[in-house]
Amino acid sequence: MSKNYTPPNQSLFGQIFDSILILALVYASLMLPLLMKEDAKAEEPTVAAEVVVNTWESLGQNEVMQAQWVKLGHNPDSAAAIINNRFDYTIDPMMLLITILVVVGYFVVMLKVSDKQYREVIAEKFDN
Amino acid sequence: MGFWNILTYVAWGISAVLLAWMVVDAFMVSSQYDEAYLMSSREGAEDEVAHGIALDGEN
Amino acid sequence: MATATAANSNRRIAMLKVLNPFHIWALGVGIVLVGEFMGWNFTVGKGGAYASLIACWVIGLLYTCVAMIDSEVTSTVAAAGGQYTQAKHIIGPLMAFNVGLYLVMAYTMLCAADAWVVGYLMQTGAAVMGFADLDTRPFAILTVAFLAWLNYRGVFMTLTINLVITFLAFMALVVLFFAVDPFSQGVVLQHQGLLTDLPYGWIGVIASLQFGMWYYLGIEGTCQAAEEVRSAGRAIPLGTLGGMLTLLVAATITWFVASGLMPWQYLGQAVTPMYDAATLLGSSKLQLMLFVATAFAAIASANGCINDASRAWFSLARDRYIPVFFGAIHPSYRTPYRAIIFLVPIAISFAVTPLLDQVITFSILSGLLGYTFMTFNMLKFRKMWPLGSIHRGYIHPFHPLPAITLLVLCIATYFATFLGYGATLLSIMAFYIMASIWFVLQRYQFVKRADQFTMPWPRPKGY
Repeated sequence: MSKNYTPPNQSLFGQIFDSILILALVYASLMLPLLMKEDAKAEEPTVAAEVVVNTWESLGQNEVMQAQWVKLGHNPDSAAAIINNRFDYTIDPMMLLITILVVVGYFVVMLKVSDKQYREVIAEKFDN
Repeated sequence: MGFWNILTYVAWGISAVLLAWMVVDAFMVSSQYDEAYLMSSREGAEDEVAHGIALDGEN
Repeated sequence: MATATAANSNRRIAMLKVLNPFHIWALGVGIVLVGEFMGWNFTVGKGGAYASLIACWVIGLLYTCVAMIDSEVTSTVAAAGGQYTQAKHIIGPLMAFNVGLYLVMAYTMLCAADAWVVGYLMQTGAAVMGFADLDTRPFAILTVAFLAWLNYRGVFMTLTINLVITFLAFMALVVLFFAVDPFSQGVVLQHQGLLTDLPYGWIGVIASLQFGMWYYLGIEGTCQAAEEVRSAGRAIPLGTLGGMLTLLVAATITWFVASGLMPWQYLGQAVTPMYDAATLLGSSKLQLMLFVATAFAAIASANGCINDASRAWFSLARDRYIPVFFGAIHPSYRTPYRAIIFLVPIAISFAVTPLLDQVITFSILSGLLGYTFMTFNMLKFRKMWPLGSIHRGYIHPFHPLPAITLLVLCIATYFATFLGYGATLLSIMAFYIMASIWFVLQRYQFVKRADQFTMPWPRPKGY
């Protein structure tokens, strides 16, 4: 079998550089969606504040619910802001497809590369 | 200076002291001990550690 | 195997083996329990109260699979890196690097979120006592600084404190449960009046799975303590599975009390739902108790996270996956002290930024990627070293059912993350892909090939 692989020693500068690189990557990936969100927000047309009279009935709250809302310190208007804030679950098929490809591709490539590296480890460990 | 303002300063102060203590201690350790010794822990050294073989001078 | 450096042929440093199963329980439950005080209730916002209960149990099943699989592999691969070390021995270096990063990221981000919570609670408390706009930053920073110091000084005291405060926080939930007169409806609890049909239908149930992870996220961190526990093969399965049972009880109690007191729309956006529950009961004693318990839970969680993240970072360094400098152990306290110090500024910087939403999603998704890894890990582990070929401290039943169930549930949770945080999901994937490319092209050259494989196992089948 071939000789064992001997890694080079990393300089102090290299060690510091590598640590900073990982940190920079983390911060970048956290900021990215934030920037994307800001773009999306800027595009959204601002809806003119409609004057709606909110009552517990119009918000679909029964008596028990009303009592708890009041105890929590809300009136129909302040509760309406919470109740009417609904999630949008429409699916963009293109985005879904991209996401699936990214996640599946990530794992497939990783398993392939890992397997190749692993065979090298096992060969060195058990053959020499 | 109310209670909460003082508390805020105390929190800043204690944080600074604790962080500084750790950094100073880490430097002292680096200057007193051999780097190779500090790095000498091994994974999977279970049995030896359990039987005291791999522990340093104490035993 | 016992080759040592020439200069120190008989002096090796190691972490102290001082922990028992209770510490393991405290490490696992301590990290998670804050999720029952805040965060879990976003499941209610995503799909209604019933969706939250379904998520609680479905994700409970996911984590039961995680705990079973993890217990078996960890009882065999007992090393500080936990899942990272498992990946290194079973899948390969690149996967191991990624798993190590998942661990460090999941725990560091969670620690940051916990520290933020402590600051927020201080601000709320000050406001109640008549002082508005207290600066949250010094308290968030103090939390991280103090807990890092505690971790630096030794694992035994760190986890003993965690045991005490986690137990107290758990008892607060139990006291709250009995305070609402749980066995008679309509007196305090109003489930009939408050529970509604699924407001978004079944898609809401799927969407709620993402935050359903909050009920349990971090329980798998128990295996990071493998090098510091006495008889890891016994204590880790015991502590982990015991912790899982505790969490299932706590999660169900939490849901039951909160959903019987608050309309789902309110609950779905509340920051501190359990404190609100106590407020609704009109008892200032209960309010104070829940306030303190929430703070305890957040502190216990941050504490456990620093413990786990630093062990993972330390293990990566010990194998030179990251700069070897971080692989040092403190000569008197026997803790991975450089890893602990390195993670402090990161945790602090996330705790004081307004990125909390992203930070939490980063944490959850890193956890999820780690669970996905566990499925292949388990399947390959049984194939490469079949039962009987190596000593296993614990063998989980029904293989491969738990692994397959886990994979299916992971896929559902990815979909949930896509529904709620599609852009964040992609950017976090981009991070792991970039890091992987860097590892393969640049970093792996510094890694000693055969030295990574440290277990005294026979050659794996098929390799």
